[in-house]
Amino acid sequence: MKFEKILLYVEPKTAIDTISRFTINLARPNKARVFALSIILHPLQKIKTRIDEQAWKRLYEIEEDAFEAGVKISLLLEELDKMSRDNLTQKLIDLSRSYRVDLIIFASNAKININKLNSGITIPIFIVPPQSTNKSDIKNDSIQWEV
Amino acid sequence: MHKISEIILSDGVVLDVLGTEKIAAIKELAQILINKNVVINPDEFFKAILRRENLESTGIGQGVAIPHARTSAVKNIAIVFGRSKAGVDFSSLDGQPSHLIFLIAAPEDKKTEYIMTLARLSKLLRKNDARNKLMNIQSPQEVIETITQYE
Repeated sequence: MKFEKILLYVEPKTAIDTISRFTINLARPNKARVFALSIILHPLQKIKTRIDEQAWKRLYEIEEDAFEAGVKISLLLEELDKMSRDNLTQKLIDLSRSYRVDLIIFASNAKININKLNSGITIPIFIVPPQSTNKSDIKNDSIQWEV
Repeated sequence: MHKISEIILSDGVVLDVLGTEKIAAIKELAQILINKNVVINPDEFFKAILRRENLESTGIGQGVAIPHARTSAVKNIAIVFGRSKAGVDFSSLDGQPSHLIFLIAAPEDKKTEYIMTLARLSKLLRKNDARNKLMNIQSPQEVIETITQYE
């Protein structure tokens, strides 16, 4: 199976080493473009600045890995008014259609409603085991999620 | 870690970028870095910039582009800013031309600072007020003041 456009979804606090390497290793032989995506919550201004910076940092780390491997990449930082599994999953479905990607990759601890995703798209999904996260990440993460 | 307002060159502001296409606009801004001896090997720097532009869309949308390169051709991390009233096509995913162009140059061995600079600048430029203000500034000093205000 050949992939041309890969949507890589990473949460702002996700450790990205494994998932970034996996995606780039898959994209390189396929000469695929990677769309690295992070989604943040819009209205909570107090935490938005910090989460926003973390999200961009993750995306630019992935970009740097892709650049060094000679893989084409585009960065996407999207916002949601209300963060829930369903909203997030719908956003993923919408973006995958909008950019006509043929593969979606995310970490197994991503807050995605797999059933909803499967019913909304017909393209393959790769779910990659995450790296360890520390307690502060989990605590910070819990602020913005309504699950 | 330096603030954006500390590494943007005070005399590295072009209020009216003349170049109407991507490479011309980048070269116009890069010339400032060369004149200031931030870039010590112009050929290598352009090669690094062009390679990245071929692989990525450094237009991040909302009228903003952040072309960037990390290479041994650069002596110290620095940013120059250019405003294009007509807009320049940086292949942004939203399809919009870029009016606010920030060129970042970083030495090879400053990866962490480089990524943090990119992240902070991108964060800052998502603020509508900051972008609007930068679109309407009248002097280079106002650029520094605006960035200081919003970062």
